[in-house]
Amino acid sequence: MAPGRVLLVSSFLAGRSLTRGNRGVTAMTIAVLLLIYIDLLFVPSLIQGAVDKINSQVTDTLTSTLQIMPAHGSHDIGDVSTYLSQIRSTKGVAAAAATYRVGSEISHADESNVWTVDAIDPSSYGQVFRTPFNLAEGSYLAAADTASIFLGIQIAGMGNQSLRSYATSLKTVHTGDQVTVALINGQNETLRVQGIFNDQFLLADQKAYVTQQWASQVLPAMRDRATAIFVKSDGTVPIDSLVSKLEPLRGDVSYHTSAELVGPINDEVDTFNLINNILRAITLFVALITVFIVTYVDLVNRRRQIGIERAIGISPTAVILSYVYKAVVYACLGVGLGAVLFLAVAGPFVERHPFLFPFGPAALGIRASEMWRDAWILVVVAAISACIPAWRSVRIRILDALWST
Amino acid sequence: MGKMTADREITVVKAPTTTLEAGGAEPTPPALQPPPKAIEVEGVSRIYRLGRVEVPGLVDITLSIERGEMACIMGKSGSGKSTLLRQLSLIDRPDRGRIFIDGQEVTRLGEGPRSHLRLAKLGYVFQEYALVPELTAQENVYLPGMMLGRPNVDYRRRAIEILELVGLAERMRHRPRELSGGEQQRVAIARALINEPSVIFADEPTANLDSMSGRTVMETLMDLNRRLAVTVVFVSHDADDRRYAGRVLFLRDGRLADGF
Repeated sequence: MAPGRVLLVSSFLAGRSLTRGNRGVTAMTIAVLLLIYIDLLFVPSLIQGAVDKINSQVTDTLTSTLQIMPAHGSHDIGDVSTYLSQIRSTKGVAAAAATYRVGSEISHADESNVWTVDAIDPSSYGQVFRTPFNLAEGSYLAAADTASIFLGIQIAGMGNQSLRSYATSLKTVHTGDQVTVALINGQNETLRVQGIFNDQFLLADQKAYVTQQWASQVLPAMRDRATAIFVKSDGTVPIDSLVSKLEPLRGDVSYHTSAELVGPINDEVDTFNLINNILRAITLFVALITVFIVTYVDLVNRRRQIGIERAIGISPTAVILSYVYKAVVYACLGVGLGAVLFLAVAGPFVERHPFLFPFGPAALGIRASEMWRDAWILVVVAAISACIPAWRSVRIRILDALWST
Repeated sequence: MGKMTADREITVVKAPTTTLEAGGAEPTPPALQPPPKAIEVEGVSRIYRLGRVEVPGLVDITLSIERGEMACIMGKSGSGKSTLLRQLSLIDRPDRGRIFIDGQEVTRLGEGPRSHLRLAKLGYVFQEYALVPELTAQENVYLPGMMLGRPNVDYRRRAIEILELVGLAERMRHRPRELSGGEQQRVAIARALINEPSVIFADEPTANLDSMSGRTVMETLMDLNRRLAVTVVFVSHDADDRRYAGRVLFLRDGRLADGF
């Protein structure tokens, strides 16, 4: 039998069965496959959204694109102003900022804990990081501010007991309060809280900032020096090329990309992906069983009809393919409607009501390539799961099929 | 009976003479090679196994049916008439013996070639209409034509012509549930005709019909036999149906009886 005839007859039978058969069964099957497709997409998208959020939080609040640190054995980087000028004039650099770690302990009333206190130039820091714009209270630092401190919300506490680190925070500090900072030279300084920021990222919100101008007054040794320099790429140059351009400028420093610095987080992402793959396998198995059962029940009800079709000369391949076509149509419609529902409803809904993680609120990270891949997988699984019972049904003798009720 | 307006050339044949050759008697070879018979059966037996019990369905059947003949297989319930029809129509396989269709031995063919033979050379009319419920009358008729895909044959148009032939052209867009039993059976006959088979088999085609519809169906088959020269083999337990047949094959306990 010519393959073209087989394809024609099978698609004809499938089409008529779909359009004129039991619409309730068709609708239910499509609905189940729709949910399975959304299930396939949801967890990976959530993980992708979380990964995207981690990456953006890390680069926007902790490391920027590139972090330059003193070479091994050095405590800090000297002649920073010259170095920063050179960095800023390098092609591919959008902004650069230097910080100097000046303190390690902050106390207020009876509360005290160890946190990092960095001296920054407020203007250049604001060009590199988003932290200055994530105000929870008060205002950001100005270059001329002295004896002022900009606190992360997980340090201040702000009386908000729902904070993840509230128990170890200063608990009730608000803008305008006085806190004491133990500087690296051993002296204590009392500073006024200028503002409190909330990056919604635990690691970032446990930091505090003072101005370089004030820090250089109380710690003259840090003048024109930095414990870290952060470089923000303008995206026009690959990160490796950017490092290659910067390396000749100074030899006593090391360069670290944000990807290197989030290494431990990548381990967690790998674990998430493993869990996701297990869930994906289970979901696909559910899809396989669903289509198998739907096809099997359909075949049981049509056993005599299949016997008749075979008796009048319709090839078994055409009969099998007609059921495979039906399953593929179910899957395609389920995938299509699922994609619309996912993109038009689930995505925007989660965007408005994001999932809260320690690294901030995460929406669904939707990737078209993954949607296509999952769509193909589901269609193939549906085709296979329809093929098995259909193949079994045409293996029985025509007489047995005809005698079925 | 509907009007007979098929476009194809219709050959009117003389009603065949009864040439029952029961009991394995070989005909004398003619001097010139005659065209092969429509059906030849040599020593066919079929045994059904119910657990350890063997029930003979057919026992050593030998017969031949000429081209253009209209033969009726009669017998009491359980005599093996439907079993014989299924062997002849390649729906079932005999345990012993040989069957020839148009001179070609078909007994040992694989399922693929048997399926193609059923499609291209044989038509089958079931007792219980047996139409695909989701297809219209026209679609049911052209389904085997679509499957065979003969070159230069517009199977959709041909289905309409055949429905006209059986008097159902105006019902071609109706689905089986919208047709009466007699109409469904005539659609089934039209379906059996779509690929211009050399033989049409009908298994008690009037069993589920009222007498009026049954008569219409039988007259349709007889008319097609006469006008299109198509060989018709039908099974019936109704003695009245003998009048439609050129000859009658009578089965008793799975054996072909000598006469009726």
